[in-house]
Amino acid sequence: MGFSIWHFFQGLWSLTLDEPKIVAVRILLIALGFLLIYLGYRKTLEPLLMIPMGIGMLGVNGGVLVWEAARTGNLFVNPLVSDPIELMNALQINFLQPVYNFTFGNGLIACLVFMGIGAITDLDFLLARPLMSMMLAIAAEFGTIVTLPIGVAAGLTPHEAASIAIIGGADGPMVLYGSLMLAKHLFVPITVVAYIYLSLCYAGYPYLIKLLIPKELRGIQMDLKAIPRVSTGEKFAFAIVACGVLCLLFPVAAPLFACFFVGVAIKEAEVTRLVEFLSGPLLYGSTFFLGFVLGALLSAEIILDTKVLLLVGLGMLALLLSGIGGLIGGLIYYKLSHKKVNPLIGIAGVSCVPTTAKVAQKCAFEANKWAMILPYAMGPNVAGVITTAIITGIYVSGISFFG
Amino acid sequence: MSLKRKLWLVGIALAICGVVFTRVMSQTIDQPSIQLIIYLIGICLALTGLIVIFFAMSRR
Repeated sequence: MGFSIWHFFQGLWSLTLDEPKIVAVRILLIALGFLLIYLGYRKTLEPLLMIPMGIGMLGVNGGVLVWEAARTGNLFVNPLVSDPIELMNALQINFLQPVYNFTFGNGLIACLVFMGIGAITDLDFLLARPLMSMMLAIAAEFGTIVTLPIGVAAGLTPHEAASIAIIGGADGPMVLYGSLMLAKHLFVPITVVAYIYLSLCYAGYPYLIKLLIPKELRGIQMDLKAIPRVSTGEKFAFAIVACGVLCLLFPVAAPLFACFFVGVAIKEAEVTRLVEFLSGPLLYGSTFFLGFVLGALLSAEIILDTKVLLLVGLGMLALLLSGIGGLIGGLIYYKLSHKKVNPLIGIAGVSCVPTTAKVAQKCAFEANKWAMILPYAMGPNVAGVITTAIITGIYVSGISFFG
Repeated sequence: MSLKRKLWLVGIALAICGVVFTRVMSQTIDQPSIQLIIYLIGICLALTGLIVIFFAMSRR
């Protein structure tokens, strides 16, 4: 291979070497990267995730190199390496390869995020109204349950359909873990789609709420003095029992349960320094690498899978149906409580802690500036994390067991 | 025994029964449909146990 002017501009040269389809998708992904960074900066999407994810996408699709024999590649990460010798080479060359292989490939990153979520979860709100919280959380899993058969009917395998259906639970680490366990070949598009949609929840759900719930119901005030507190000892005991039972029930999802409840247990045991570590550096560090590596994994070759368009549609359907299910659950509870419960708390059952609870509060505040429902909304919100983990456990264990 | 302790014990007993149904009983049956039913009953029992424990917690 002789020297040419192209050697100085490898990024442009690589565009002439690959298939036109790949080049077009690569340019599209670079543009999408810019868009995510901009929307993250403007706080339209969640900046914690979208800025690192956008820069990852921009970097991996823009930084394409030309290797020997006009082969293209990058210095970020190669998720498709499986041969041990090639993997050892990749670990020494690609700077994100160790992060991918040692934290993504085995689901560790989802577990680390879950430890942090456990450490910031306050069970008080859930235990204050346990039945209401659990029922609303179950109603808000409507999308998670219904999207599975829809996905199978649309041509996905049960494993793939279950992975995309978990988006309905609106819990990013759970989607990552579930897709790694059930459909590893699709985990990148599924998780990226999930995180983009979860970031859109804050902007999108208020429209759904205004469409389904009349203004006079959105402004209902709830009695904040009626929220009881539970002793830390009992919450600690509950966390240990729940962890044991759920791990015994769903061994495949046991790492997730163990990590979530270790966070809860440490918080309830009041081990302040560990709580600070789990809820600060660990949670934010893991979330940063989650976004950055996911962005870097989103190369043109991964996106060109024919199923990706279907996943985009099904992911949105799952979240939409879960939101509708949660709001219908809220309306049912409004009737059952003799019009004392604000139906907006139903949307908080779509876990996405604490975004959906904040959405409920924001919409209530818009309708009535005295309507404070956030503490009540946190109950279904926390219950949503647990129900999503249980449904993920059922999908991972059940489909693997019977499939 | 106080109602609170009774509820804790009932909850834990239900949860253990659920685990036994899901992990042990479902494995002893060959017919997949019955196996699935026992598996799901076990999960429901265990989760009911956890909900019973919710109500065992004293509130102030």
